[in-house]
Amino acid sequence: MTTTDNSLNLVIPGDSISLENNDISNIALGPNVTLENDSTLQPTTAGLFVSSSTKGASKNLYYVDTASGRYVPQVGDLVVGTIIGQFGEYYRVSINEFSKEVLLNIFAFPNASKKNRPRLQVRELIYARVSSTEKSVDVELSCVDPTTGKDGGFGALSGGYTFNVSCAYARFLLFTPNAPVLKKMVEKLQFEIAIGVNGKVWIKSDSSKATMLCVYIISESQNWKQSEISENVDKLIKKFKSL
Amino acid sequence: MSAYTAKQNILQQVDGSATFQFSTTKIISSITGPIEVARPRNEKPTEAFLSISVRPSTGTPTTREAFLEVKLKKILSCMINMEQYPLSEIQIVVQILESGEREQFTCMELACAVNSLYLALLNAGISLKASFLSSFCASKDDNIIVRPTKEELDTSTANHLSVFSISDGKADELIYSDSIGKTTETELFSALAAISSDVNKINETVREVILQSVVDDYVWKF
Repeated sequence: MTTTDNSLNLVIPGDSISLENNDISNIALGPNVTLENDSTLQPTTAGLFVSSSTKGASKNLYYVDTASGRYVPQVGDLVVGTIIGQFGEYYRVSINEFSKEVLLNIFAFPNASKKNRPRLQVRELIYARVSSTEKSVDVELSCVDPTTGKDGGFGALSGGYTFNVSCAYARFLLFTPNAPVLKKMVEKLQFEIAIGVNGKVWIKSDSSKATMLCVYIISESQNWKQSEISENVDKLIKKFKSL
Repeated sequence: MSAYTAKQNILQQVDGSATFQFSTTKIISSITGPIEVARPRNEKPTEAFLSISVRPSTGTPTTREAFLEVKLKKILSCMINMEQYPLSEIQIVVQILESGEREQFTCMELACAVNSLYLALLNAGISLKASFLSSFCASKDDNIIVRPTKEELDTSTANHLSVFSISDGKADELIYSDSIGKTTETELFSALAAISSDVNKINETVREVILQSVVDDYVWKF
């Protein structure tokens, strides 16, 4: 693939991006951009520059999307984490290797009470939502859906297998309705999946062989073009069947 | 003038990595971060802590490598948005694969390390104030040799290294300058001019490498 500088809007730090309309009261800045002065933006890392002004929304959104790099928690993110300890009223949860551990209140489950609450063991996996990221305070998770107060698919993940993909790919799988690779997989396979934007994917299928096939397909699909997905998935399924 | 090559995303177990090569000098560097501070006493309440280690091509690190670490820390701490990562650590490892110069010089290794770290930082998604690149030159009898060979460096009277920030594809501000040997003010200024135009040239290739690597990261999108 050749680098197409203009059509893809690739930027690196130091490239000034001038805004078309100079009304800075009307813009919202996403990750990896800073406002240099009233009319220019500066990217802070290499990536794809995205500007979106959806109809109805009052503000123009600008950000730089980057595939590489370590996950930094933001409020509202859906993450897959591992319980690594318990102290007082909190579980200690790891959502990324070597990153600062985060907290999960033992009552942050739907209808949890002192007597009736999930008892999580060390090394158990959970699917949760980042509920607060205050400065100088540990990040906190929650397993309650904030809009309904119900479980909303959050909670302990039992069985299955977890592996890493790039953060951008995890976001793509999670937020794209009918992501091509998942759409192709559901035609042929049965599985349960939980995707965390921290780049962790949990998958569970009927047998461990089937689970490993799903794991293999998803982690390999990071290097496939969309046009190759169908062919490659079929090839892998055939390969696993002959094992 | 020596040739150069650059490549990003070499290592799988770190957040960012890159190699950079100036003919005989080759360096691979890796970035891990922002992570939890390994030693609590290093934790800074308002900014990131940079833990830099330079590993020589042979033997164990000496004062020479420690000196390089100090220089790299000076350069990097003003290019990274440090206040964006309070209470965290950014681990930086620079492994010299081939030194390509004698022990009394460091300019080739330092320039190579700065360039490979720039690529590795971008690969790790660490927030930068601007792009930056480095080059070096040697002076001999009023002549400036940009990116000299080992032999040219041996016979030179002085060598100069500098790091420039890059804005809109052109060398912009002088970030760091380091000279060893007997030199004059006019010689230093012409050296800086020569290095800045060389940085412009290196940037053309390096930019292509970076953008290609971004495109490669998004194969699944197209």
